[in-house]
Amino acid sequence: MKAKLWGVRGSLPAPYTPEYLEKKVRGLLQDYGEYLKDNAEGDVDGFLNQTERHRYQGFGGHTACVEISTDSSQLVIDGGSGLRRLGEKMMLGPAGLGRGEMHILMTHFHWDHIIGLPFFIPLFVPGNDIHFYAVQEDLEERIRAVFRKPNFPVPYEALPSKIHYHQIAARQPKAVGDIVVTPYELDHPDPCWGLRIENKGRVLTYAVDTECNRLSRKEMGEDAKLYENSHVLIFDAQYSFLEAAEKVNWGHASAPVGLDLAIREGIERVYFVHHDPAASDEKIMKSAAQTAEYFNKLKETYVKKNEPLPNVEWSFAPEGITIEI
Amino acid sequence: MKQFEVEAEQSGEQLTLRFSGFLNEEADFTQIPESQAQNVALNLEQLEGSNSLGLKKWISWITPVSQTAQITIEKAPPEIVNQMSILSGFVPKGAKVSSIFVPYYCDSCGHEENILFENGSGFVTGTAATKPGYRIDDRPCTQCGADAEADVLPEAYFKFLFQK
Repeated sequence: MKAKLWGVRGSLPAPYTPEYLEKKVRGLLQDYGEYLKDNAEGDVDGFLNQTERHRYQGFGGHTACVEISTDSSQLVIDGGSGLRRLGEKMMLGPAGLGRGEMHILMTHFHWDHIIGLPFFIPLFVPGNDIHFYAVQEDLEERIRAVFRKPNFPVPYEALPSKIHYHQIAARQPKAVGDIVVTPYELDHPDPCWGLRIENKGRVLTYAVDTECNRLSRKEMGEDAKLYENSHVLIFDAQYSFLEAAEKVNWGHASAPVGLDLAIREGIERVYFVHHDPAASDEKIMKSAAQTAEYFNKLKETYVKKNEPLPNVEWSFAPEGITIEI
Repeated sequence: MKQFEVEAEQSGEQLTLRFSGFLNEEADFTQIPESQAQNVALNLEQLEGSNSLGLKKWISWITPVSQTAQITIEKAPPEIVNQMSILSGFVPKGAKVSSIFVPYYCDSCGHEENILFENGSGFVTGTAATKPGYRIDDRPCTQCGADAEADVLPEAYFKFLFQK
């Protein structure tokens, strides 16, 4: 099972400004000039290999969209702006011929998780079957509302594809092909569901968007199962720890919290997403450095007590990566 | 790690809370009795450390308390001072830090010891008129008498003094 991150920003798409892009390019060109003093001209690959990835690729600007795929099944989580590019890829296959079958699960309906829907080309191709899933009862109305004048010129009724709606039960497994997904409630200002996604014994936990106000297993109650016996966690780390502490009821968390959940539950890897739209690539890296400092000090505390922490791999995820679950 | 516990002692307008154990998501702040005390002293000497989940709980508890009482944090151990400086939020606005422990290490005999630094001598918190600061000198090792050094990166360790 794989998870490709088509959008990792939260709240609003965050394209680079021309000024910011120029600043990045200037910085790289200057460093390349320095690099050439000791290396062969034209060795761009060599230069990039020793340059931090965020400097030349960045974290991306599209909002939440994840493609889960196995050998035989595919499931899309959320329709943020990243869905547009995923749709373009799908159009290269059966969807482009009107023979596509797509499955999209909506965690909730905040703008950043639905803004890509009107630009999902397969919806506009006759013959395609599009299946939407959500726990929320008003799923169909929420999707219809996206295609409504004056906010979008093409009305829902004009969409030529066949659209199907499936309400799924909270905390009950639902199979989509050979992917089994179980929704658990997150802590967000409007109903939002985290997903436990399973295939062949491997488990991905998708916990976006969440403020993580319920911290202990007891406080989480039935929703604690979202994190139990999971191998990979994709977690909402929109803010720094202090920002999250100050923005009470804004609905988002921070990386140290995700890390501590992973440590408690024995999760192997954590990918932090839902980056703040106001955060530059450098600010995201600063959050990563702070998280590393926090983790190292925590490990020291535990080592002193002869209680070493389990090793957890983690990173702030950029758009476009594919995670092997 | 030991379970988080709190002992409360009230004397007139002063409430002293002594914390012990590890501050994590299991920390139960409901065990702290309600009080109208104007001054609340938080003795952290026996705290073993904290994770971010415990710190979230701490902030939820301490923020409303800090709005009605003068909080003083005393004898913060290194494990907590580190978190104060890395994650921020541990010391609410208006609270005073009266003392912290600084770890010292003696190269000569390998002895490790936490030395108490008090506000006004080892460090000073800033005011409207003065900047915060710290002073770290070598201290005689209590075991062998040789010079022991502070086992911290001072700028990182005392970062909490400069947070707004």
